[in-house]
Amino acid sequence: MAETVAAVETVGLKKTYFGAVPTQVLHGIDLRIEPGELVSLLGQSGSGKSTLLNCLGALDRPTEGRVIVAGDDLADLDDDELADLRNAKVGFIFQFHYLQDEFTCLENALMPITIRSGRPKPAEIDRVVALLERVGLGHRLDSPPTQLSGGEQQRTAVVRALSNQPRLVLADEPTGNLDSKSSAEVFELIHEINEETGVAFVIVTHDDRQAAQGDRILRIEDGLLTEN
Amino acid sequence: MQLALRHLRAGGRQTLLILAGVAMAVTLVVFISCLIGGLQQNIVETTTGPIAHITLQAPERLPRAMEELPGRPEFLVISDIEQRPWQPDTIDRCNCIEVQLNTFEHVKAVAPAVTGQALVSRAGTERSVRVVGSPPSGQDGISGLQEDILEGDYLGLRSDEAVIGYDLARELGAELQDRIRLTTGDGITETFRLGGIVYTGSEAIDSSTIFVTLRAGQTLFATGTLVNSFSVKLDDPFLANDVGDRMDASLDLEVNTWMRDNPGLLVALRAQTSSADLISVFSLVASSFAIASVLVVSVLRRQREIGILKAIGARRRQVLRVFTLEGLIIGVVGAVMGGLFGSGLIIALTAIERPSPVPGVPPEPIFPAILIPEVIVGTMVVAVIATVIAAVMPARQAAELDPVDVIRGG
Repeated sequence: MAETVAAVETVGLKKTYFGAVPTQVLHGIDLRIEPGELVSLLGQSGSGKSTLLNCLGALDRPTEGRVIVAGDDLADLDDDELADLRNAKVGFIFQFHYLQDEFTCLENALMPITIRSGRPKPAEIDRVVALLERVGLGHRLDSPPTQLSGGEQQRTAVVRALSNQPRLVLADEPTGNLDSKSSAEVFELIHEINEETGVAFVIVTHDDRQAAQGDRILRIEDGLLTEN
Repeated sequence: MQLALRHLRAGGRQTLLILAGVAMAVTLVVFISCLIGGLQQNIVETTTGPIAHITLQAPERLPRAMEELPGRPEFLVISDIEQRPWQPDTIDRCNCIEVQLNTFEHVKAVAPAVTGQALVSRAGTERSVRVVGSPPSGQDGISGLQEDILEGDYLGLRSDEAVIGYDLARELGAELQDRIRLTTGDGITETFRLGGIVYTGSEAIDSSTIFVTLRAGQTLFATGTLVNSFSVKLDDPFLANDVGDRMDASLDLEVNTWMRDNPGLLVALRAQTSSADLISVFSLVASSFAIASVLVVSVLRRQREIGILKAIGARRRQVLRVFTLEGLIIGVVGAVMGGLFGSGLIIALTAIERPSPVPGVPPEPIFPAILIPEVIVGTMVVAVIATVIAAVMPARQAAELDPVDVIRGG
């Protein structure tokens, strides 16, 4: 039986920042996340979880080792190809929504498609509208982000991460800026979408209860990974 | 494109500020260039309009030493020395030369003439004047007298009539059909009836030149059927030296041009042009710096958005394009606004008129500015290019942003 292509895979991943004093943040990480998996990533601040997430999302290149995103080895790609890979195969949800105020909720959600092809096709627009309706924003399509609540803004960001039908979504404390009610809603939504779409999720969180809901919990400490 | 437009629209007051900066710079350059261009054209027209661009005369004969004279007698006794009144020598082969002059490039009109100094007198008032005896049809091509005539007629001038300038007519207290008397240095006197009074705006013509027919001139200066000069008008006054040099090379005549007669004027015109150019360059450079700094601030303000766009797959070149496009849009809109505003100012300025001191002459604009389309379009194009160049640096800065730094910065 042919082995399925992992959503993301790392082999001996090391990352060092060469500042005034070189700092090694990741000390050799081997990781494989299967399609459809929801992985929680826990760790103290400064433990290297954001660095790991940036490497998994092709935002940063490893100093040593390999990162393979949906079959593509980052080492083989130039900067433009990395940008294309992020656009097509990876979705990002950040702690802050980073929506563009000049665009409506729908336009923001369509942004990755707009970046890829200039003008979204009607079928793509329909799909994104359906996703926005799915997360309860059907009545907010034409509203600018400034008129949305914190929870609505972050839900728009979730749809933006999914609009290009990625293989992997990386979420860096996606509910960190929300009140507990909105936080619970967004987290639940991510779970539901994970189950419905089969997209792999890696979620960085501080919240042990949220982490416990994942398929797997990874803990990062001093740049090394341990699995619960 | 959409992103650039939305950014600009969202920029609100900031976008208006940059637009105003570009528009002001273009307005300033258009205004100054058109004002100075108009003034210069006016000066050149007033200076060269009523006069010949090139004048050709017989070469002055230099006195030769007695020993050089052919067949000189062994002994020579000088019993009397007589001062020869200066008048230019006559030119042979007149018709032939007139035809030849017409073959030169850029020549618009050629007029043969007998010119010389004379004394005009009327009712006890005497003035020294320059007399131009020339066929009216030919001379009109040089001086455009028929257009500037206040009273009477130039093209239909008869051989016993003369046309004089407005100032001279006032000094002499002469009116149309009055008689004036001209006396040359050789003592020849002729009487003329005033056939016309002309106002050209040129001091030299209005106060001290008298126009008669060629025939009358030939009689007055006793040149027989010959002439002593040719006046040439060109389609571009500034080619006078070039064309004059070519005439000098192929004709055995003394060539003079208005440019060599007015070196000071040319220096002043050139100085004016360079100061106008300098002001234009400085205002465009200053506005470019202002645009660049505002766009740099705009990039700084948008760092997060740019970082996120790059994180979700925007290529370096796409970001570069967005910000360069913003510069282009600002440049085009600002340049068009500035071009229109500058042109409007010039039109408004030329509408301010001052009545002419001479009755019968229409009022003249105080600022004789003119709309110079190539200057206006050229300034707009340069402004657009300058704005795009000014936008490139901040655009690069935006394109080089590392999304990781932005995200880490929170």
